[in-house]
Amino acid sequence: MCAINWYTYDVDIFLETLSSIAHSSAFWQTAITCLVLGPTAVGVYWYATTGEREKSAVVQLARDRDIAYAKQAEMEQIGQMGSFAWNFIDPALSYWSKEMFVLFGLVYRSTPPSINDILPYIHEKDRTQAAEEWQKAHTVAGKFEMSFRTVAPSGQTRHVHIAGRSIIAPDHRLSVIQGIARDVTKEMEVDKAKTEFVSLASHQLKTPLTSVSWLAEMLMSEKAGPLNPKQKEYVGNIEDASKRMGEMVNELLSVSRLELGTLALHITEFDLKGLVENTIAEQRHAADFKHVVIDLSYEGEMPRITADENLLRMIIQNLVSNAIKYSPHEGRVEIVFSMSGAAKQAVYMKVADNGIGIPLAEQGQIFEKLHRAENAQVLVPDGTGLGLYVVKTILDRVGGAVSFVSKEGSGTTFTVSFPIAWKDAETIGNGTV
Amino acid sequence: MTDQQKQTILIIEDEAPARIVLADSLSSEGYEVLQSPDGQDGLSMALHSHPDLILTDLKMPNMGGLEMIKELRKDTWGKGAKVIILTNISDLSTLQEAMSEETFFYIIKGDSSMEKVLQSVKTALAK
Repeated sequence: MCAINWYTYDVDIFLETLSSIAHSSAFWQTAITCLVLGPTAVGVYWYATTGEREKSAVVQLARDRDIAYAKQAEMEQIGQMGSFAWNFIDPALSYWSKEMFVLFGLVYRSTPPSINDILPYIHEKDRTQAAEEWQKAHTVAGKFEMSFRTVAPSGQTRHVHIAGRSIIAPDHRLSVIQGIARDVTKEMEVDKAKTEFVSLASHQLKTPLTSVSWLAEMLMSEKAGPLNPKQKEYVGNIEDASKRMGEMVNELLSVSRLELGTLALHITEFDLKGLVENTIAEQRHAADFKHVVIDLSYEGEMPRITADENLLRMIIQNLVSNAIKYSPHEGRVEIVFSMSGAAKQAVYMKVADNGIGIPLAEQGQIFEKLHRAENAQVLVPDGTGLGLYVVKTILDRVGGAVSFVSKEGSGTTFTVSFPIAWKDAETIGNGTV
Repeated sequence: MTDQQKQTILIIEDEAPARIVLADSLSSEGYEVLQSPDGQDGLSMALHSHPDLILTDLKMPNMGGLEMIKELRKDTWGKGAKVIILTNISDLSTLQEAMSEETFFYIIKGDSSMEKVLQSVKTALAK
C-alpha cells in the first residue's frame, strides 16, 4: 500500500475520474471509500484485486491546509468543540484538533493519543461504558454517539458528547474512526437544574394532592354525613382525578430521580407472584371499563426474588396499563411470566395486546423520554410519554432488558427480562452489571 | 368505652387540611386525637400528654420531624414512644435515618389512602 498526497481543488471531479479508471479495467475489481483524514484533508481509500493480487492506496486531497487548520482551530475554540480522526490504515494520518486536547485537559502535541491513552482521563464511573462504546465503534460501521465526563489532570471535570462515524474498508478492515467532540457541561448543568425543579415541584404538588384525596375519601366514606347519588358520583370523580394526578406526579418524580442519579434501589426479598397479582388487580378497573380481558398465566413456579418492589411494580404497571389503554373495546391483554434457562436466574414477562400497535416509523423512538407515537396521541391525548422511558431506564440499571414486536393496527408484544437478584445501586453505578 | 377508644394519637402535620381530615377519621374510629402543626409544638405536646402513638410529618416549620424524634428519644418516656412517620419525602437516606430512631414504619402520604393509614395505626397500637 502506498500513500499519495494529491492536492486538488475539486474532490468530486477527482473521485469521478478515479472511479471511471478503476471500473474500466476488465481484470481488477476495485472499490473506493471516501475518508476524512483531518480537518481539511479529504481522501479516498482505493482497493483493487484480481483475486490473487491486490493493491490499495490512500489518496489524500487537500487545499490551503495551514490556513484552513488555523481557521478551524479558531472556530472550534469558540464552539468548545474538537474534531478527531483515527486512521487505522495509515496511523500517520490520524488527527486530533487542539480543542480535543482541551476537552480532555491535556497538553497539545502533534501526535494524537490512542483510545487506550485517553481512557484514564475519562471519569471512572463512565470509563467502562465508554470503553465498551469505543470497542463497538471499532467493529460496527456507521454513525455512533456517546457521552462521558472527562477529568483533566488539574481535576477539572467536563461533560463531553461525541458524534462520530466508523468507516470499514471494502476489505473489511477498520479504516477510520472520526467525529467531533463537544463540551456539553453547561447544557448538562441546565438540564440538571430543570430536573431538580421538576423534582421539587412534584414534591410540592404531593402535599395538597394528599389533602384532596383524603378529603374525597372521607366524604365518600360518609363519616362526615350521607351523600346523595349525584354528590357521590362527583366525589368519586374527584377521587379518580386525584389518583391519576398522583400517578403522574410519581412518574415525574421517578424520572427526575433516575436522571439525577438519586434513585437508590431499595432491595428486599418478596414473592413475585404476590406482587404481580396485586399490581394487575389495580388495573382491573381500567380493563373492566373497556371490557378488556386480562389473561394472566405463569409457566412454572414463580420464585421469591430480591429486587426493588416499587420499581418492579412500576415496570409491570406501565406495560399492563399501556396494553389496556391502547387495546380496542373488548380487547385482550395476555400476560405470561416464565423463568429462563436451566439456572432460572432471570424472569421473563410477556405483555401482548391486540391494540393499535406502534407505527413502523416510530418504533425506534418509543423508549425516548416524552416520545408518544402519533396514533397513541390520537387515542389517549393525555399520556406523558414517560412510561416506557422509565421501564427501559430501570431495566438498564438492574441488568434487565426490554424489547417488543409490533404491527400498526394489529397489536404489540413487549418482552421484559430481569434477574431474580437485583444488584444494589452502588454496584450498578460502578458498571459491573 | 373499649380499650381502643381510650387510646390517644398525636398527629404532627403542618398541612392543615390533611391533618384535620385524618384527625376526624381517627376520632370517628374512637381514638382520642391531639393535633399539632409543627415539630416543636408537637414535641411539647407529646412530652406533656404521653400519647399512645405519634404520627409525624418530616418536613415542617420550626422543627422538622426527624429532629423532633431525636429530641423525643432523649426523654425517659419518649425513648419508648411509638412513632409512625407520615411523609411525602421518598428520599431513602432521610427515611432510613428516621427509621433508625426506632420508628414503627413510614407511610408515603401521597401513595396511601386514609384507610391504609388507619390500618397502620391499628397495627402499631396492637404491638
